Amino acid sequence: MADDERNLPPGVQDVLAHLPREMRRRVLADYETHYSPFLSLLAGWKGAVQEHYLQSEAASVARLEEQFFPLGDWHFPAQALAVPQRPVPRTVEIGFGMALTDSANNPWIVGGDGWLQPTALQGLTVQQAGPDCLVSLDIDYLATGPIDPMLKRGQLVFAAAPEDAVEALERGVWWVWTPGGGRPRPLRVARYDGYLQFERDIQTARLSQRQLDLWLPPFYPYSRKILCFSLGEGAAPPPPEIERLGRDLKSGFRCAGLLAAPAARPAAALRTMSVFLNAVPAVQTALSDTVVCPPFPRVGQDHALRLPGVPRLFAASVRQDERPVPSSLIRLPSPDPLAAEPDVQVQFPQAGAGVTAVRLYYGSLGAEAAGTLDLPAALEKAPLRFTAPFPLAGGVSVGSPATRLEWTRTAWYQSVLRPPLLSEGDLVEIIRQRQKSLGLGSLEALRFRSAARRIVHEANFGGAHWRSYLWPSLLARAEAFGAGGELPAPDSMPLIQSLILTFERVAGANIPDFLVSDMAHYLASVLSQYFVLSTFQIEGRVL
Amino acid sequence: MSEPIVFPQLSGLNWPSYLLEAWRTLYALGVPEENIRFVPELGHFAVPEISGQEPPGPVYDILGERLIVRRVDPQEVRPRLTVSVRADTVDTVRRNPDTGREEYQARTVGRLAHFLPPLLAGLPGAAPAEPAQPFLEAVTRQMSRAYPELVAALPEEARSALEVGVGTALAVITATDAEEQAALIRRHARENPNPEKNAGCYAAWLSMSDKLPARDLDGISEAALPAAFAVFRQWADALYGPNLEASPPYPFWADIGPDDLLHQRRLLHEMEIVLSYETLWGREKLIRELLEIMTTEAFLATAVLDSLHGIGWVHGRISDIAAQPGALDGWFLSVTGGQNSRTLMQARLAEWAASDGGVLGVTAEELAVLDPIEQTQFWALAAWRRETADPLALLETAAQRLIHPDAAVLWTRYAPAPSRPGTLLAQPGSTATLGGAAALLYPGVRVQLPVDGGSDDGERARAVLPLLLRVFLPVSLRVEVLWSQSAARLDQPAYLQHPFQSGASLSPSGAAVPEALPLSDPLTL
Repeated sequence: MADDERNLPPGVQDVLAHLPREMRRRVLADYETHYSPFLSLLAGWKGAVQEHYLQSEAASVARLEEQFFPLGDWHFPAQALAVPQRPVPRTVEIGFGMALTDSANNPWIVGGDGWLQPTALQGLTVQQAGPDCLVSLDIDYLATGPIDPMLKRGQLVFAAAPEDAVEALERGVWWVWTPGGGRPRPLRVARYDGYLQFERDIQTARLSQRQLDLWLPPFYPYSRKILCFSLGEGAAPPPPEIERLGRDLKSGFRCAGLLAAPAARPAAALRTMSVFLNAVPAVQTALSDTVVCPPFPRVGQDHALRLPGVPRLFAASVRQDERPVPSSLIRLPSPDPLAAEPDVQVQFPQAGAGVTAVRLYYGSLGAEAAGTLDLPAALEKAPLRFTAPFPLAGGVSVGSPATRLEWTRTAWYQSVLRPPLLSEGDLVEIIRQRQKSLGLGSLEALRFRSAARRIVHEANFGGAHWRSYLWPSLLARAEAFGAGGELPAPDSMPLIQSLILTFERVAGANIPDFLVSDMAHYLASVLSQYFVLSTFQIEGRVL
Repeated sequence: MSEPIVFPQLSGLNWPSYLLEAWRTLYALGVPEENIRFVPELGHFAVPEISGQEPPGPVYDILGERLIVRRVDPQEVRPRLTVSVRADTVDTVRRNPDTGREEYQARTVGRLAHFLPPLLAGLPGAAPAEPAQPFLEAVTRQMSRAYPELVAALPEEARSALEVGVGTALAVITATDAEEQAALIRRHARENPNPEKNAGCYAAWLSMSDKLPARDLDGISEAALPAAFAVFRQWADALYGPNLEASPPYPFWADIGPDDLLHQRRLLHEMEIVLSYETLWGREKLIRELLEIMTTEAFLATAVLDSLHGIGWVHGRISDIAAQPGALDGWFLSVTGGQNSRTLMQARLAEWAASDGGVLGVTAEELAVLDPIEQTQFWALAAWRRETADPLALLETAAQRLIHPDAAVLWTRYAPAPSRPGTLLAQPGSTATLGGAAALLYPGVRVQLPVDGGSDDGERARAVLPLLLRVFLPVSLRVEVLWSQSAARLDQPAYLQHPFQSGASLSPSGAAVPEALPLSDPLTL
């Protein structure tokens, strides 16, 4: 007889706990002589069942994830800033999709339409003038023709500065001096959005291609910080401190701007910023354009075009009669037994029947690209050669064995766990997920520290779309970010409920300050899409 | 005795979540968890997943054209539900990770097919069950053969002879006259001539009678018990004694009266029950009971997951059917029965919480303030967040379960907004509120904890509360925490416990600044 049931093995105790009282008494009375081996067997079997339970749980979860979260293998491209190694002798047109290759022969494309001017930066000066800031760029003009046509079209300048500093540059009043031109002429400085064409194209593709949800909005900071300096009209005469800046100009031209009382943070950032002329945002992908004419094969209510497979396909866009059309993407087994890749079937509605252009984006290395290129990497399109002075950003690989667990967790969270109203824990979780989308490889540059609410008086709504990474790849219209015209009277006082996300830099991560700042903006932008109804303004700050 | 219930009709078709649903139905009716048994059976394809229930549910009497129901005590009823564990083999296409090519692979599927291997794995060298044989019965017999010592309390010969002897004894005791009794005993002696065997039977018989517990013999007086046992010993003497031939038939009826006879019959019945426990059949019954416990536990353990196996079996690959997985939430819930998804999510959350960095901003170190059961409750509530319209209900429930049963969470919709130069409501060129004070619509919550913030309970509450607010409180709501304490503190609002001051707030609501809660900052004006 067992002296004390508590002395029995835990597994046996567990089995006994399920027995009726009378049977339990009998078993215990005869335990040593008869039931000890049998109950040990049962306890062992119970352990086997529990092990089986764990295995089948894992199998079931894997099966569930396979069915509900068909993540697949996706590689979304990184972005780099390509800066010409040498100035071009004349104006060179840059078209969206222009192919580049890197030293490892990986495909790249230019992310939009732009141009290179025959110019070179001679110097950048930032001075403090009381509460204001004076910024001056000395630029060499290397072509032989007149300078005015070039200035009319504009000089594209990449400002390696945080967003509020770029905003300050854009809001400043600018003048330009040219040789022999006498008094300075007004200069218009505006954001250049021509290099955002890739993001816009992806915005349309996203409507029916859900795999892009895992990636969008992309962390593409380089295409958002390009300013176009072009000749303006009708500005007031420059103040004396600006006037003085043009006295010693000997060659080329000089752009000078008066930035009225910038806040402390952008003012400090301006003093340390660098600028790059003629920089071009490049995306690590290849694209193929196919133009087809009707009639098209039909699948159900859709048109369906079947194209030969391409490796590492991640998106397709369709334009009918030059208008973007939402399209879906399906991989199908190729009838060609020698084909290395499955075919691609692109489906789109039957709304139009005109000439249709199908564009496939493929060949991306995803997050792996960050590890394959040593900076400064060289990109080439003979005879042009570019240098990439900053880290690649925004490349993401989904579904690889190393990251599948994390992405599955993301899918679980976003599909069945995320509540309608986010808590602080949800902020942490989403930030954790989206930090992978920064595409900086293993570099963890930011760490979430805290979130705090406040109500602020914010009268200026302009330019908010540049601060939000939701534009243009998720929200196409810039007007959605402004509140102009809603205030009932000029002296109305808008109060904005704001959520400030505070991050801290991770020591040792060698990433430029302006990129770190943009990461905070990016993460805040991603979170802002969950707060549209509560009219929260989300702001990311780095300590 | 509990309130009688009508035992439900539980037979169903092969619905993926039916096993769990049957268990939940019985449990909700008050049937104790330990009373429910799931018995596996290799059923035909058309056999319902749950069948063979005992006791029976409502039955429609065709002839009488009426429904016959039986009320049973839920605490006493012991339902045995037969579960079909039929398996099928299908070919599936899987991508070989080494070659990257898709290959066909035979796979055993079936609602509960995966349950069989662990059950059979516990029977070394056991022959597979015959198709016509009930599955668990076959396993029981295999188990009995594999471990004979478990079913051998008496020597085999003695046991069989004893069984005959008991039958004979019963016949003797119910015989109508002494001559018939004597004839029965003589016949028994002829059929069992082996003296050694009879000696063993005699010892066993005495052992059996010794095992009769007095407390089980209701209705027999203490005084009658020794006489009754003596009578039975005399039976044994007559049946198995060494001088069997010399022993005269014992005149039972002459010594005891009718009441004692009734009591003796009851005594015999009890003895028969005890004796059956020593037979092969009785031992098998015990083994079967144990096996049923194990099968029930295994079924319950895998019920939720089986439902998910059933998804593919019933619907095929859902990703092949529809290209947009986001539209399948309804399917997910219908197939898994709603609860199952939360069960899985709870398991996922607990697993992620133990990983590096935790989940939802909660790390394993922070969770240590909760015991394992509380952690289960915490994550179970967290898994409800998506489906709960009122997030504050979850916050309040969590606070009541994990901090104090009387914790309360209340809405506070307005926050005081002073208006004076330099504040938000008095901007240059804009109008300040006349009178200098305003209430701003700035929704928040007030968490009232009947816990002294400075006490030991308060220390624990201070560790738990940030976890609850982090997971359950929408970030758009401000929060104010009110502690109940015996002494007023200037650094936090509080309710006094003194009867005269109960409920009195010591500070204006807008002044609450709980420590270490960045999101709890009050209105910054």
